[in-house]
Amino acid sequence: MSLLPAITSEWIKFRTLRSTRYALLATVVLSIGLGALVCYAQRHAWSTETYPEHQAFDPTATALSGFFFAEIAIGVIGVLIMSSEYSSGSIRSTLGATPVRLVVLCAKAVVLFLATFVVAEVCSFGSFFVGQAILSGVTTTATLRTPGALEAVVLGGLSLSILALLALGLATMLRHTAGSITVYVALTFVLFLIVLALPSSWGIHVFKYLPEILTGSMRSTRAANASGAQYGALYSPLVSTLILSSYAVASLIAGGLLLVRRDA
Amino acid sequence: MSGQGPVEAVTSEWIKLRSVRSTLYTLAVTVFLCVGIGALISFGRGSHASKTEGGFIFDPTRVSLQGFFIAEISIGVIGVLIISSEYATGSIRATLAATPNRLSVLAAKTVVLFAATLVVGQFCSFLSFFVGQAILAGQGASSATLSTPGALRGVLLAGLSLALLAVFAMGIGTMLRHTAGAVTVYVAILLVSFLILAALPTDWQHTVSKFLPEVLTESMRSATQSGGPFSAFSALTSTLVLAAYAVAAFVGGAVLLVRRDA
Repeated sequence: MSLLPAITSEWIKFRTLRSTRYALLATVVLSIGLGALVCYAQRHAWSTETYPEHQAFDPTATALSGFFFAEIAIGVIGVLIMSSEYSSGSIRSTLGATPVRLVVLCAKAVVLFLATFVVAEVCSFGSFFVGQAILSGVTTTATLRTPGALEAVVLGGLSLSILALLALGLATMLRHTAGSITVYVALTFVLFLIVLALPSSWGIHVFKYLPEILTGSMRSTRAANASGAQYGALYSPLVSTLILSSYAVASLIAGGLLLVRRDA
Repeated sequence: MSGQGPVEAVTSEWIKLRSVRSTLYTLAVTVFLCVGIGALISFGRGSHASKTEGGFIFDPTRVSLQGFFIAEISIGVIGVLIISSEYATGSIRATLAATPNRLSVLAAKTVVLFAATLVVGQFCSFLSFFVGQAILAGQGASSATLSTPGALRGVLLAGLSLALLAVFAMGIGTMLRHTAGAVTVYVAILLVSFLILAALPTDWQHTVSKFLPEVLTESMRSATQSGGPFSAFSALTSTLVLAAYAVAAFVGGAVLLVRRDA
């Protein structure tokens, strides 16, 4: 079996599973809903906030605040597309049908990337427009023509699909749902909390490389000065995208190597 | 007479918990990461002993227990797996056939889970504390002993917080019956809520922060009150609020377990 039929069968598996649909639905509802909640809160607090707070306010990044949650849900989808085949045993039929194992991983990566990209862009454009509608009339707002806004909305969505690929690589290495989700969450969120607990003179060396900071930079219109003096300048959205992509590629390569070498 | 009584149910849950490989791995990882990251953070903070960094007053007890961030995740995974893995494999049907009283099953799982995670939690917290204080003292930073006011309480409640979170996670696992879904919801409640807090305006933060699990556990493992940038309950009140979450999740799980087909 070559790549195209493998992609077709992965797509059938992807779209016909209940868990995928639930997780994607939760991603959309919660990312837009939580973003709307944060915008609503900012709208109400605006009059009590100070001038520097008003200056630092980024309406684009605020509207995309729900992406914290979306990052988990999308990672779970990335994990499940591989680990669920190991828990049900269907990986053996999958590899029986497509004996070239890298083709299987490639097909899963293509389907996962495209499907999550579409959903993630729905999330980010939806969050952006809902958020600006809630903020409008009270706080400063953005339109897609505001410098950096369109880039932040598009890259915000892209960040989710890259994270999904990172999660797929982890699951290919670990082959266990709970373990893979734990490691994914540890890399995306817990690492960030640990670095915050370290002295900032240590944190400054690693801060801008953390997945959570990279995705934050991707969905912000003013990443360069968002972190404050404590952790120095962050990478620009485009460089952040490249670094996050390199993590996903590294994770897929490691997963691919293990997939080829191990028994299923 | 049909099935097992409560004592037999506890015995069989204990056998299941200790004989599953994933439990042992997860507990070993919990202890290792918790103590190791606590030591790393103690080393970092001890060598850069600015007193108020990140909005925190320097509290040597809390600094040595910062590895609990990661322990909270792995302990929650154990709590979820103790019930969700039975649904994944189908063994829940054998379990419920052996003990037809479903509340007995859930109660037995709770007793075993709570006792086991409490022991591991206290092991983590005392070991993290002693290792962390030794590192801090070795660098000439201020350090604590168990007789420092609030330190023993912080260490004991840190261990307890893990056991309460494990029961909380088990409640979520019982409601959702799906490993991935339950772990996701647990992590979202624990960590994502904390990250979203930072995006909220200051006055909203003060209203909601003290109810967030991560702020509750942070308060539990602190020797000094109001150590963080967010408003928090006292250590004892935080314990009660976290316990209330665990009870609520247990009750939610119990109601659904009794009413649904397995």
